[in-house]
Parts: sequence; C-alpha cells; structure tokens
Amino acid sequence: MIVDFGFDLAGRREPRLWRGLALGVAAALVETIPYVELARVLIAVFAGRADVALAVEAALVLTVATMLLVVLKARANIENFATTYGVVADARLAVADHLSRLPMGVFTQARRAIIAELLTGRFSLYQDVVTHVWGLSVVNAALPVFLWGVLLVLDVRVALMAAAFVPIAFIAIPWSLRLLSRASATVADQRDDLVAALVDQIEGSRDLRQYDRGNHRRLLVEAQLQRFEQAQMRAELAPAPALLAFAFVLQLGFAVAAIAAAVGVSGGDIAPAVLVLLLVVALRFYRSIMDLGLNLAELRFARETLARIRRLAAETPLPEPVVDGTPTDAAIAFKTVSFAYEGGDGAGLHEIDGYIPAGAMVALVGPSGSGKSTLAHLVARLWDVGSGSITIGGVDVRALSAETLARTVAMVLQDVVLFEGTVADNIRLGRPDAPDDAVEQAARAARAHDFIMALPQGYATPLDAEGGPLSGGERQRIAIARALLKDAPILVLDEATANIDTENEAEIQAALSTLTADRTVLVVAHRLWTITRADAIWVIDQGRIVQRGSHQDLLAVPDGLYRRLWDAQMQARTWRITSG
Amino acid sequence: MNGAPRTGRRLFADLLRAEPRLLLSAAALATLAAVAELAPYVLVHRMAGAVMAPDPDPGHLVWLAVLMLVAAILRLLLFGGANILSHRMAFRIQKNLQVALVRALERQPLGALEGRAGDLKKTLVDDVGGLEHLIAHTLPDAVAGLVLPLLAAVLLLVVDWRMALASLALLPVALVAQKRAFSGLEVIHAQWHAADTAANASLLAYIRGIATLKAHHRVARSLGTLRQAVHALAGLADSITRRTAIPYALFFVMLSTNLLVVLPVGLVLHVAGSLDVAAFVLFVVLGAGLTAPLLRVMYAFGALERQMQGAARVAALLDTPAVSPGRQPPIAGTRVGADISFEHVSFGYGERPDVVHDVSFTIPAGSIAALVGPSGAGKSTLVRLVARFWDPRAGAVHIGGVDVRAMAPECLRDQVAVVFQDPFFFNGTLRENLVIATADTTTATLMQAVDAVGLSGLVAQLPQGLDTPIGDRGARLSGGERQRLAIARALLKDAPILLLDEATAFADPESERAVQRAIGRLTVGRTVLVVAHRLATVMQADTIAVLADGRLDGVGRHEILLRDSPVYRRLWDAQTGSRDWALRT
Repeated sequence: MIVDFGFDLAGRREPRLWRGLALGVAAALVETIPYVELARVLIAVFAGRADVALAVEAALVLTVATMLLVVLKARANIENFATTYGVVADARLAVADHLSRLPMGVFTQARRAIIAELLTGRFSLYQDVVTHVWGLSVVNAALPVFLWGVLLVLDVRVALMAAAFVPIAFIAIPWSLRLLSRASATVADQRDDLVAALVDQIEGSRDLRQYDRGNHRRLLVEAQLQRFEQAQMRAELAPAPALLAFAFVLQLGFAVAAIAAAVGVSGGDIAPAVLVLLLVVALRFYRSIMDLGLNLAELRFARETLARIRRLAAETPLPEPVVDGTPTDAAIAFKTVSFAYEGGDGAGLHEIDGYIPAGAMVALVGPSGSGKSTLAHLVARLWDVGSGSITIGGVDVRALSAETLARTVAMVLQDVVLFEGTVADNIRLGRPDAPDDAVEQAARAARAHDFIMALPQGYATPLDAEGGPLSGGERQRIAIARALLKDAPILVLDEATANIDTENEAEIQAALSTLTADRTVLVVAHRLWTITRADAIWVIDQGRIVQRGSHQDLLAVPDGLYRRLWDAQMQARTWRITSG
Repeated sequence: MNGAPRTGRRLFADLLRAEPRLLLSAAALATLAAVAELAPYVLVHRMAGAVMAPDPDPGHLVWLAVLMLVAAILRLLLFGGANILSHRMAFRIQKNLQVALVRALERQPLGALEGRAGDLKKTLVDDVGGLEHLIAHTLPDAVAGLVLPLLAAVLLLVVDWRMALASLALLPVALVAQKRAFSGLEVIHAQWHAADTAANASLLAYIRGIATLKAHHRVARSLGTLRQAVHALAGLADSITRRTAIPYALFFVMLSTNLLVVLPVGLVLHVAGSLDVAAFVLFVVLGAGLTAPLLRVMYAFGALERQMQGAARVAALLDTPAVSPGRQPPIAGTRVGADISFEHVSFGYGERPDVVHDVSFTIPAGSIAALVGPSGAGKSTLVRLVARFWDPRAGAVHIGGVDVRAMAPECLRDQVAVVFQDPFFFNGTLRENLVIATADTTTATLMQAVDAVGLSGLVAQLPQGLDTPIGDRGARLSGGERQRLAIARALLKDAPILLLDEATAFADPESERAVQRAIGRLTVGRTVLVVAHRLATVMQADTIAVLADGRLDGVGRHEILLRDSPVYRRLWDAQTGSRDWALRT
C-alpha cells in the first residue's frame, strides 16, 4: 500500500477520525474563500471599477474567513492529534496483546531484542510520523480540489490542462517508494548490524577493555561506521530521480497551464484579470500538491517500521479450541511427543512418552540443552508439540482454552519477572480478583509476608520495571506466592538455583515445600540433591528420555547418565579453590 | 578536556562549524534556491504588466511562462543539491560523533558504564540519530525559509514601502501567537520524554516477562500500569494540543493570510491612484505569501529544540574527563609485583554515602584470597576498586606496592584479569573472541587454552571449529561453555593477578564441575581474589576477608574466622543447614 497509516492495527473503528477529516476538509474550503474574493477584486481592478466599498467588502469577507479558518484549524488539530495518538496507542497495545498469544518460539533471544526495539524506539518514531502527517495530508489533499474548482469556474480548458499533469506526477510516488525500499532494505540491515555493534561496544566495555589491547573491535566498528555513512548516502539518493520527476511534472503542468492561459489572453479568449487569477490560484494549487507529495514521502520514515509491525501482527497465534475442555483430574500424559525448534536451534524433543499421576512429583534432569525445560514449557503450552500430544486429565492441552489451561497449570520460572505495579498486584497476577486477605495468606505461606511488611508501603509498595527494590531471593518468593494464590492443581517448576543469595535459601526452600504439597509437580531440576525424593526422575539427553526411575534406582546404574551427573555434582559441591 | 560539558546548543554549533565547506555550500545552494523560488512570483507580476499593455505580445507572454518553468526547475535542482550536501554533512557528523563517543566510552571509569547500557545506547544511537536527522532535513529548509522572505521583503520595499509594510502587518500578531503556542515548551518536552520513557520501560518489562504472562493468561491491556503508560502519551498529546491549538492555528494562519491586509489596503491605494495594477498584482501574489516560508524556519527551530536534550546528553558523554591517566609505570617495560594491598579504603557511589568503610588487608603475591559476606556487603565493589572501575574516596589500593592510580592504564590492564559471572562475547567466531586477548595468535596457542578449559571436545564437534560463529553474546554456547571460554581468554591473557567476581556461581550446575576444573588451571601461580557465595568453596583459601555492611568483620583462615568472626560463623551455619534439603521433605 502506498499510503498506510496503520490505524487499522488498533482493531477498533474510530469515528473521530472522520470528524477530524471533515474539519480538515472544511478548513480547506474556507481557505479557498480568499481566492474567490481575490477574483472579484482583480476582475474589478482590471476592469477599472474598483472602489472603496469593494475594499470594505474584501476586508470583511477576509476577516470572517480568517477567523473561521483559525477556529476550524484549531478544532481539526485537536481532533486529529487526540484521535490519532489514541488510535496509535491502541495499535501498540493490540500488537503487545498479540505477542502474548504467540508461541514462545517467536521470542528467541535475538528476535526478542528486535521486537523490543520495534515496540519502543521504532514505534515512537512511527507514531510521531503518522500522527503529524495525517492532519497535514488531509488538508493538503482537500485544498487542491477546492482550488481546482475555482480554476474550473475561471477557465475550463486551463483547469483541465492543469489537472492533467497531477496523475502523471503521482505515478512517480510508487516509483520512488520502489527505489527507496530496494535501497533502504540493505541500509536497514546495516543499521541493525551497526546498532548491535555499538551496543556490544557499550555492554562489552568491561571485558573489551581488559582484553582488546589492540582496540581491534573499536577499529572494526569504526570501519563499519564508515561503510554505513556511504550506504546511507546511497539510500538517500536512490529515490531522487523519482522525486525530481514528480516535482518536474508538476512544474511542467504549471508552465503548460500558464502558456495556455497566456495564449488565451493574446487570442482574446481569456480576460487579463483571469490570466493573473489563473496563475495565482494555480501557483497555490501546485504548491499544496507538492506539499501533499512531501507529506506522503514523509511516511517513508515510518514505512519500514510499519511493515515490520504488520509482519509481527500477522504471526499466527496458538490456535484456541472452539469448545473448552474440562480435565477430569491433574494427571499429565505425554504421548510420543516430538518437538523441533524453528531453524533447528536447540535439541528439540523426540518421541517422549510418560505419565504423571495426579499428585505425583516428576523431576526432569539432564545436561544443559538436553530439552528438559522445553518439555516442561510444552505442558503450559508456551509452544505446541510438533507431533504427539500432551493431555491433562485426559484432555489435550490444545483443546483447553488459554484461560482454563492457565487456571490448571501454575508455572514458576527460574527467571522471575515482576511487573510495574504494587507488590499485591504482582502476587495477584494469576488471579486479579483475589481479595486482600487471600493475597496476604499466600504471601505468608511463601515466607514473603515479613519482608513485604518491612517495605515502606507494605503490599502497596510500587515495584519498578526491574522489580526493584526486591532482592533475587525476595522476588523468588513473590513468584511462589503468585503460584500459591493461583492455586492450580498442576505446578511446573523450573527450579531456580542461580541468583539466590545464600542467606535466603532456607526461606525459599520452606516456601517451595509449601507450594509443592498436594499438587502434581513437574520440576526441572538442576541441583540433583533437591529432587532425591521425587516419585520419578526422568533423565533427558538430546531430546530423549534415556533413564527413568527413583533416585535410588538410578544411582544404582553405575554407567548411567544420572550417576555421572550425580557424581559430578557431588564433586563440585566439595570443590575447594586452591592455588593448584 | 576539563570543566563542565558543553550545552546541547554549543555542541550543535561546534558540529556545524566542524564541516565549514559542506555547511557553506549547502547554505549557498539553499539561498540560490530561494532566489529561484522568488522568480515565478516576479514573473507573474511581469505577466500582469504585459497583459495590461495596450497590445499584448503573445510571444513575450509564452516566453515569461517558459522562464517560470526554467526558474522552477532551477530551484528544484538547487534545493536538491542543498539537500544532498546537508545529508552528506549530517551522515559525516553522525559518523564522527559515533566514533568520538565510542572512544569516549574508553575514557570513562568502567564503573560509570555498568548498568547504564540502555541510557548509553540511547545516546549513541538515538540522540546522535536525532541530530543527524535535524541537520539533514531542516538545514536547507531553514536557510531557504529565512532567505526567501528577506529577499521578497527587500524587493517589495523597493517597489512600494507602504504595501510592503501592509504585507508584514500580521507578522507581530503571528509572533505573539507563536509565543503563546510555544510557551512552556521545555516543560512539555520534558513531560513527553518522561512519558515516552515510562511507556517504553513498561513495554520492555512486558516483553521480558512474556513467558510468565502467557502462563498466567494475561495480555498487555490487562496490566494497568502498562495500559496507562501507553495511553498516557495519547492523553498528553491531547492536553498539549488542547492548550496550544488556538494560538498555534492563529500563528499558522497569520503567517499565511497576508491577503487580509494586502487586499483592502492595496485596493484603497489603487482607488486613490497611487498603486498601479502591475504593482497591485505583485503584492497580491508575493506580498500575500511573504511570511509563509517563515513557517519552515519555525518548524526547524521546533526540531532543533526537540533535539537539544539529546545533544546535551551527547555532550555530557563526550566531555567527561578521562580517568586520571596515571604516571608512566615505575620501571618501564617490566611488571610490578603481584601482591595486592587495601590501605584504609573507603568508597561510595556518586554522591551517596560510603558502601566500603576503611578496609585494610593484604594479599601476598601468588596466594588466594576470598571475599565473603552477605549480599550487598561490598564484595564486588572491592574487586572493582582493584581493577580501577572506580577510585577509592579515601585510602588506596596498591599492586606490587604501587598505587593503582599511579599506574599507566596499560600497565594495570596487563597486570589484572577479571572473570565475571556474565562474561561478554561479541558476535563473531570463537577465534575472534579469543585472539584479542593475546599477542600470540597461533592456532596452537589458542587450542592450548581451549584444551585447558575442557572445551576442545566442543570445538572438535563444531562445523568450522575455532572459526564457528558463536552468536550474539555467545548465545550459541551454554552458560557453562561461556564461562569456560571466559576462563580460556583469561588464560591467554596470562596476567599475574586474577579477580573472580562470583565466577563460580552460575545457571547450570550440570557443567559446574567442568568450570571448576578450568578455574583450577587458571589460578596456578597467580594472585587470586575471588568473590564467593558458597563458603565451602573458599574454605581452603590462604586469606578470607569477611565483609559486612562495607566493613571488615575479620581476615584470616577458615578455622580462625569460625572462632573470631560472628558474621562468618552465621553464614557458615546457614549454608551447612540448607545443603541437604530436598523438595517434599
């Protein structure tokens, strides 16, 4: 699409957009009044019948028109800005909502950064461009139409001639966009690389400074900057021929109209006053078309961003079932589950079979990258299985609505994320309508109540986007309180081991014990000694279950993977740093 | 450089001055373009004169029309040329600024960069980009917008001063309206910037937590703070527009509606016989549009204003003084001794109170020392003071008897290697990430280090061996592999002093053993200072320094501290108590 503001992304109709449009058109209409008055005056002047009464009339008409114009423009501005910013804000939220319905596969580490930049910095840019261009282009599109009406009244032939060149000129706009997209695609890639390199330079400064004694990296970045400078210039020049052609055709149109009018005057067909008027009106006519072209060209700054936003908004969400299923109990069954990551990254899973009875605890263990976290995430349907099925209480997770599934499965991830809002809001994440005493009860059970009460505003203490002012261990306990409040029959636990300050470990352990009681638990375990009492341990290697059994059973297999992992961890626990 | 950093405006002026040839030629072309833009108006006036002649010459009229076309095309080319030059200048300035900023990063104390990646990225990419856009797009516009009305005003004054004044009559009204419309602009910009930053922070947190939100079946709109933050921008746009809409429209209309005065006044003068038809037409076409180009100047100033905060941030980074450079190494070419001593060291961040209080202890060359204590006790801070991320407020850190502040930065760098918990790798191959650490870049040397950390098996498996790309920040490697690669890098650097900042606490215990072995290879024969969470790991260290609230609670060996340091004893008890815990006890 040539002219794309992206307003449809908001997913709602905005009648005020039309009101702003109507006001802009009305303003353009009023803007043509002075030209009509000018026509009356010039015809009188050239005919030698100008008088002071006409001057008074002109002063009155123009004053009224000007006042009206100020009011209309102001109203149009208010409508347009308030409306477009509102629509664009909704579009941003709609895209953000959409993200939460996508399979997690979309959020690879590399893509996550790109999506983040797209919804923040680049979105702001898009937002400012479209909101400003919208109002301007409405006026600049309406004004020429009215001015052309004036031309038509003055002289039909000249008016037709003037109009004939406009569509020809506008052919250049898609042409310029074609030239531009070809050039800007490469430059956009280079820009991404460059930004990544600059960010590396910033975030890596700690390590680069102590290692990169030859400043190799900096020299590479400088060379990259140099290349980017050239590429940018090339991209900037790319649409120049089309833009020049656009302007040239418009100017040619004006010249042809002027010549035709001049010839008309010499032939006596056109009155001298009309010639001057034709030229005055035509000058303004072409200037607003020129401005319209520039307004639309301005959209190019938002184009690439909008295209990326559209691609993201078009990604297929995880399908929702038509009829919501009802699990009979909290047992989980895996039936020949296979899964592969897009692009072949990561191990994936191959034909996993297994059954976890309601209320049992199964631990997934294995080397890093073996697929144990992936399997746990499939239960909560962060992804869909490639083939096979996962059922909860006899119902395929794909046949459960997102809401039912969320009510059935609680997940505590290793990387606890807190959101802006109060401590209580954060605990309520999975049950927004929970009463205060339920929140407090969950916090107490999660051993979080005491530190929450020590915060300046207790449960009402606002947390920032980074989860401050809480420590890692405290955040962990908020996450546990969250899961306790949600009270889902199934718990998926990505056992958190890193980032725990050792002082808090006992507290967290106590909280976890409360959480896992009386639930079906699937725990991704890193520290093997924490799951020695699990009902079953599934040992996963390269996407397959290679061993299963109780801790004692598995330990008794001398060359088994579990035994090897156990021995390594026991050795690691007794490791002492010494000077060789 | 010393003294306060430049203001945004000052930096902007300096940037323009740095490219005098491009600046002047762009301005010259824009000025000529303005002259060419004036021509059609004058030609319409001439045409009016020609048709009023008793016997109009058709050839002359056509000639005038052709001249209009020529002038218009000339203007296009001149203005296009001005734009090309301004873009060239903008891109060059952008590149030079980014080069200068990357170098400025190297002059900052490392501590000043930690945790500021977001801000710094904004400055290096967005703020500089804003300046580029400003120079590229608004410079020719501003010049042409200023020159055009000036030239036209002079021309009109020559023809008829009364009418020229009439053409300018609405300008004061426009200026008053403009003052109203743009009053409090700085406050508005600050509000806008704050709202934009808040919305972005909320969205970033949302994207970071997307897995958690999916698991809780929550969408963006259901998060009150996020929804409000995003809509706050729309609300702010609404209230700003409401407040400024009338003065702004008045300003806009007053600049472009001179006909309001020109037409009646011209008519009266014409009726009185002191203004001929051709002059009347000239004022109707040129006088009516006399002040409209000033809008472009106003837009340019608006754009300039918007970029000045960003420019100030750029200037602040460019103009911060370097860490004091230190004197030349005491004995040129040789290394100082490898013992470390803290002498009455106190330190606090920025203006805040001290977080390290009067810490003194010594680590003999070749021995292992551990820093332990509750989180927030100042352990990492002390390590950073050795590597001179910061300088102490009081006291001194000595290496081989020399104050680190007196050492040349290169000397200190060669003396000390730091391995962090989250080592950084850039997007390149394994080899590229390793060779920077050493002067001896042969494959044999690199493989020796890779082998020492137990990664030779991995390298053998990789499709292109050492030349395999490891992804953004080493994303294709596991946490344990990254950690060992960092240790290989430190081995290659071969510095006599090794600082381990929680390098033994990481995400996957599965590879913990391998990392420990690698560390075992690295510590041989070096002075080691290690920050440890798990006390058992460092119980055999030669020196253990116990920190609590930034103060030393004890220094000595494990057995001594168990007896003498209450903090150490408490930590030890807590950790031994929680060791054998299992889920579902």
